[in-house]
Amino acid sequence: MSRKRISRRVFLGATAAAVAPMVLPQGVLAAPGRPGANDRIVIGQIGTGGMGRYHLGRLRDQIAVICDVDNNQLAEAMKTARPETQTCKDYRRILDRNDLDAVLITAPDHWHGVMAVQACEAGKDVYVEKPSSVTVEEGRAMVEAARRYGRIVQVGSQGRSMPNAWRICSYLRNGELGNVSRVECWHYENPVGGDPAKNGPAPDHLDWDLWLGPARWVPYNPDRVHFNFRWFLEFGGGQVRDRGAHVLSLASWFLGLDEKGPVRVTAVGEPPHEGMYDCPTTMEVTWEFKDPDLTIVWKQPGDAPEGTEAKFGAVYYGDKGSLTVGGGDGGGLVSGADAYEPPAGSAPVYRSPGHHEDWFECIKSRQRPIMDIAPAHNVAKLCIMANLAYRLGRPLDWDHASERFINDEQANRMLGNSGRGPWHI
Amino acid sequence: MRNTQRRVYTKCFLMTACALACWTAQAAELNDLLARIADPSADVRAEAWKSAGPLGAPAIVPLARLAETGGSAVGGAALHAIGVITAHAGRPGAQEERNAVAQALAEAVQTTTDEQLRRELLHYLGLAASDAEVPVLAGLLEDPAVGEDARIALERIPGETATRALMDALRSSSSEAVQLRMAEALARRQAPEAIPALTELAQTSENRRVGFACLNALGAFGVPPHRVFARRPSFTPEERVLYVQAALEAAYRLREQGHNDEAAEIYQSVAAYSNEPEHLSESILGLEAANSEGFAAQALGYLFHPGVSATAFRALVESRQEGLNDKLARAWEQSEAPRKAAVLQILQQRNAESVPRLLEAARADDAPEVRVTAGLLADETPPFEDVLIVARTGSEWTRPRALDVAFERIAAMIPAGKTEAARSACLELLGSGLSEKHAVAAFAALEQLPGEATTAHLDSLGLWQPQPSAAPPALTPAGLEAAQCAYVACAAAETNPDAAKERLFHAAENSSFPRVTNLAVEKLAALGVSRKALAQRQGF
Repeated sequence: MSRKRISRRVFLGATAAAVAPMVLPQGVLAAPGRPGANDRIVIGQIGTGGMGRYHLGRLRDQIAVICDVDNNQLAEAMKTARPETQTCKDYRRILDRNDLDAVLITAPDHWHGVMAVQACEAGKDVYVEKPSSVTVEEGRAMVEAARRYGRIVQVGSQGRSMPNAWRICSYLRNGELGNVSRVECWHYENPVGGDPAKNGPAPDHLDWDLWLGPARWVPYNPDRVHFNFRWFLEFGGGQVRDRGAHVLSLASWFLGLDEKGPVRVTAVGEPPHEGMYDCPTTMEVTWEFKDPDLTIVWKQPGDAPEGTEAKFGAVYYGDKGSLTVGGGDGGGLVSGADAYEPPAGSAPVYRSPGHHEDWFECIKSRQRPIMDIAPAHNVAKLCIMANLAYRLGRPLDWDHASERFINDEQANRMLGNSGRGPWHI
Repeated sequence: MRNTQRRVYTKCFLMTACALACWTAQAAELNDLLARIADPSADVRAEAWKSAGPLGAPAIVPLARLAETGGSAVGGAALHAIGVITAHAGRPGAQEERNAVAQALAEAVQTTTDEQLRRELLHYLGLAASDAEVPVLAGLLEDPAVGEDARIALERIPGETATRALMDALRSSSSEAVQLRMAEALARRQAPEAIPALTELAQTSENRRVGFACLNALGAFGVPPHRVFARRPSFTPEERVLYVQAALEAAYRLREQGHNDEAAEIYQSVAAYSNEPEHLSESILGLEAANSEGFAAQALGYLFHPGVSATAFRALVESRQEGLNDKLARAWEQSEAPRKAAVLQILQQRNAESVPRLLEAARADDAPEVRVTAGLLADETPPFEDVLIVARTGSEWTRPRALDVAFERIAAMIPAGKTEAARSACLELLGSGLSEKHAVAAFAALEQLPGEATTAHLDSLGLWQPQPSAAPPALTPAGLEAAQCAYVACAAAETNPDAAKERLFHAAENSSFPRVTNLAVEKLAALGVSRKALAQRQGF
């Protein structure tokens, strides 16, 4: 397998500062300068948009510093944060601090790879929102960095930590559906929108260059930033990369695909006819696996099974029947296996105590979390490949072992992006 | 002869006519595409650009013109069309078509003035270009507007020609930023022909940042810094860190190349040279991955080093190195108490055969820390006095668990009537400094243990000061809430009812925690103070 080289981050300030104790050591109730008691993981958070504030609300007592390139976002986040929470604009200030145990990365997707790799280099454990990366190469670099620096990296596909997910996983792994050979996912469409006429100088409260970071330079447009980035192929990748990272994460876990890959991916879709967004409004993706013999289909829009209220989800077809799993992003998960109790003696399935809790426990035990970066990368690859097949307008054959497309040099050129300026991995 | 000549002429004529017809047809198709791309209807434009692929190279420059002049909607459609053509030409088996598209894209980049459009064209060029486009891209590397886009496109082109262009720019550029980016690009590229250029610049560049970038890039080839510098130059603290990083980079690469001994030597040197936790952690993990003999000693040595200890502990638990259990068992025998306790836990997690024997020996050890660890690992009940000692003075590997056990035992002592011993233990533990979780447990116990000593301790904490966390021992919100609840319980138990009421009033009026306020009001009510009286006192 060709390997993506992990570069060393450049420090902002002097790095020879005295080393402060981090997680676990004894001490006073709460040492000055540290917000929590020392059996707590002390966190620096990067990115305070929608998902950022969601996490901040739940982990506020442990978050010592928040970072955002948009002063308005920071001000909004401070309404949720503890008053003594520190703020900064450049995430490298967080990585340079020795009084933080972990980093919570809730910046837009195109930053995940660079920030996570650099956080690992800096000796921090990481929680990074999904999808873990926007390219295959940076995902691979994230896995390498986690292993090389011995860091715990949890990815925010929190569906795996929901109690129902454990039941469904047990249900499927105990063969209640028999051999599952097809999974059909349904989701609603990507939106049309964005007005290129709004291109112009960024407002004073936003550091546009830092917002873009490793992405190639494009002019500021309010329809591109914050949640809108989701609707650009090179930034958010649309529903298939956003919700796909949830729905496919569950499928991968349930069906034991965390270390396996498809042999072929096909994607067709209808692009928006106007506006700036370039993610296809409708899309149908097929991933064909040979080991096991399985096909996963993503339909956008797709037909939710009758009686299902969930706006997205997946139907699992086995030789003994089918199972509908509605939702999957942590907001709700319903299926016919919700009351399932695994029979005595069945294969044990890890039961997460909650996605944050699982991360914290793993930081202390140094064991791999339920959505460790390796399976997360494997899931992200499915989403990334789908968009590449759509963009190139042809089916792509995939070699899982080398993480390269077969006989398609152009597709292989799109597996990575060396990053703009100093923002690279 | 004449017939032959005529036949040749006829053939030439027909071929020219065919070519002309083809060209005319293509021109008509292209004109049709351009017209549809410029159509006022978004749907017409979209259908046009979606089907632009087969038009290939001849459409690129005219589309680029349209992208430049057509306004945002038409320009956007033209750009989409260029993207579709580039993707179409990139399909397997269409090398000639792709070369032609790349050539056209290069021409469009050079003849376009709009900066953003040039960036977009460079992006597409990066997906199609071959050696032929390298000079165009190399010529743009220093361009302040699109230099980075040209570099990214250049990096996508495989082969020596592009590598040489990156090396030339590294050597010749007068821009520090360009040189840094070239060094990084060459490291990513892993082309060994770049090693001499990087070495030369690492040794001779007057710009230290560029020099260190080259040093780091060399690390990515497995060339450690000590092989670059015959004598180590003097470094600033930041440069010292960069030097270590380059060494670690080289060690990692050497390990990947199978040169474990050389890698291990670097990891050992780094551990001796740097005090940065992340460097030390990486060295420990690196030694383990390199299957180094020195791994166990190094990891054991850092079991109590802030920021490294958890990594060292986990690496020792998870390592599959042969003979490690024996080494750990020997280390156990030669260690002092805290390390002994930690090693015992490691061996147990490794399911080592020596564990029963060591547990037996540990039970008779002089140090309470070792005895308690052995007892807890064997699911026994160590003496409370020993647990208390470890809960106060144990290491990071023993103290948290001992504290858990201590507070479980204290909670059991209260209903059993051993209140004095329980109180005394709580106060002793609080005096030793506690984490939030254990502080909450201590105050929760004290809430059930009112009395003079408890009151005196709580009074000493300054629970009602505006910023109780300002002075150590500081209180987290959860700890403060628990402590104030204990204060209320103590106040309610005062023998003098007036003093009790005064303290309860104080708590009700000054606490910011509803739980504390409610508890105080409840206790006041039990003392006959109505809510109305409380409200009157507060001025309502």
